[in-house]
Amino acid sequence: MLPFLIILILLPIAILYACYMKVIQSKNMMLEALSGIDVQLKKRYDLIPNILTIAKRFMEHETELFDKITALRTNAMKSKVGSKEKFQAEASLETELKALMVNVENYPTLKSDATMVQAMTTYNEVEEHIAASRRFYNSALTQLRNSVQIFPGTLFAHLAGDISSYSYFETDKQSREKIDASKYL
Amino acid sequence: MSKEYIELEKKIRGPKFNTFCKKILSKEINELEHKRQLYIYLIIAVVIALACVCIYLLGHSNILQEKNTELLVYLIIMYVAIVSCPIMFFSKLYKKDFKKTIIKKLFKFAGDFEYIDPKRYLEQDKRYVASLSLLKKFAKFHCDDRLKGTYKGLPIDIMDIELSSKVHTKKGTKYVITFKGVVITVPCNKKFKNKTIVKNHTNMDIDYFNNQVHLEDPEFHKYYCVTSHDQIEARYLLTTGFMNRLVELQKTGLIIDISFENGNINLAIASDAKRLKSGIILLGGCTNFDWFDINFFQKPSDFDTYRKILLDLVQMLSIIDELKLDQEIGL
Repeated sequence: MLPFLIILILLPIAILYACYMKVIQSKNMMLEALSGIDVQLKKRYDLIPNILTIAKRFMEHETELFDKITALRTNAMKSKVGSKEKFQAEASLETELKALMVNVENYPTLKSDATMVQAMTTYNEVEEHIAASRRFYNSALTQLRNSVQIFPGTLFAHLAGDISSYSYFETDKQSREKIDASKYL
Repeated sequence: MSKEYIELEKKIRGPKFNTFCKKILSKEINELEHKRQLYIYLIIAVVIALACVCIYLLGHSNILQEKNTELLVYLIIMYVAIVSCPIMFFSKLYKKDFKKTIIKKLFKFAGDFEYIDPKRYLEQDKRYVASLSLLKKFAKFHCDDRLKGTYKGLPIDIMDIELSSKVHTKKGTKYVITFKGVVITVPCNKKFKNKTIVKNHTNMDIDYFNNQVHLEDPEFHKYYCVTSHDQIEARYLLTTGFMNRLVELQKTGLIIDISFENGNINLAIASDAKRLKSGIILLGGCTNFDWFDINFFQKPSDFDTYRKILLDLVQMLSIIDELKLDQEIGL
């Protein structure tokens, strides 16, 4: 009788503790994922001035684009990590960088310049890492939301903080539209 | 499938291969046939000699008079077991002769491939395989075949290996085969620092609790489990496109494990895994259990034997094509 009673008391405690642990682990993983994105974005921020410096030597008339990119970069660096504003700022910066890369195609000497080729290769790698870190963030946020929204995790939801302030990384409307290749040709 | 792959497969299945065998390999094929004949005669001689000894012993014993059928059956089984020893011995010797002579020239037909004596880099290969987290720790390492080459500009290393580990039982220690199959190594088209392992669920030695990576594709997770020390790097390597390709490969029946280690992509295919079905390539009944091996009971003048060996290689190259390992497309 006594062992049965001990199990009856200890089992719910063990289950609750497992839920508590899951919520804390999920929250920490989500924060780790966010800082992971930040690390990758930092690489991009460091890379942008180098790309602009190389591009300016050949693309003298694109000053408007360069200024726009510089301003967006500054804005993105200031935004709070994980916030919607940050994601929107990053999305805008990405759009302008893509526009720059497309414009590079119109300058054959720039396109074949060894330093530019190296910079573009590095840029592509950085973008791939950013995409991977965003995937990890979305996965970690899903795990956290699942752990606090499914009972008995709801009992420990307050430990996760205000998770509504963290949003999934989503692409902007423009990126979801069909691409018309004739625009670029 | 790529253009190079299709051309290579056509070349192997076509008449050019027969011409190649007749012109380039004729001397070695004839020598091998003579050796095979000699081994067959030796086997027959051993079988007859053993039969004579057994008949003599049976004649001078009481087994037949006593009609002890049980003992007679045991003796017959023993005889068959003893007789199979020289068959296995000469069969191994025949395979060794084949590997010393014909196989080196054979792979040249497929392109820039070199068959290397497995003993040449034995220690190096053993150390490399031991460093892989893809495969279990082993106590014994045996390399049956070793192949190096280039396919579409991509350097490839292929090892046909057998790994055994020590198992302690109540009766003592014994060696159990933990992996028998092929390990293909190609350089990775992406830079990475940590190890990422993708294991098929049928290979039950997955450590489910250690550094698991949960990816977005549920269909992918039906077949594979991923572990890595770096969640971001694992997603960088396993893009959605790559996961799709792995799922498609699984649907053809190929059971494969992949690891991203030491700057390379390592693919492990167990010999008892199902082979590719005709959806990817037409195998024409490829039934080699041992990769790159020849059957003692098939004549060396039968060119289909060599064709099957090259088709085994082509099968491996098809995996590289399917997974687009030679391309830097970022997908």
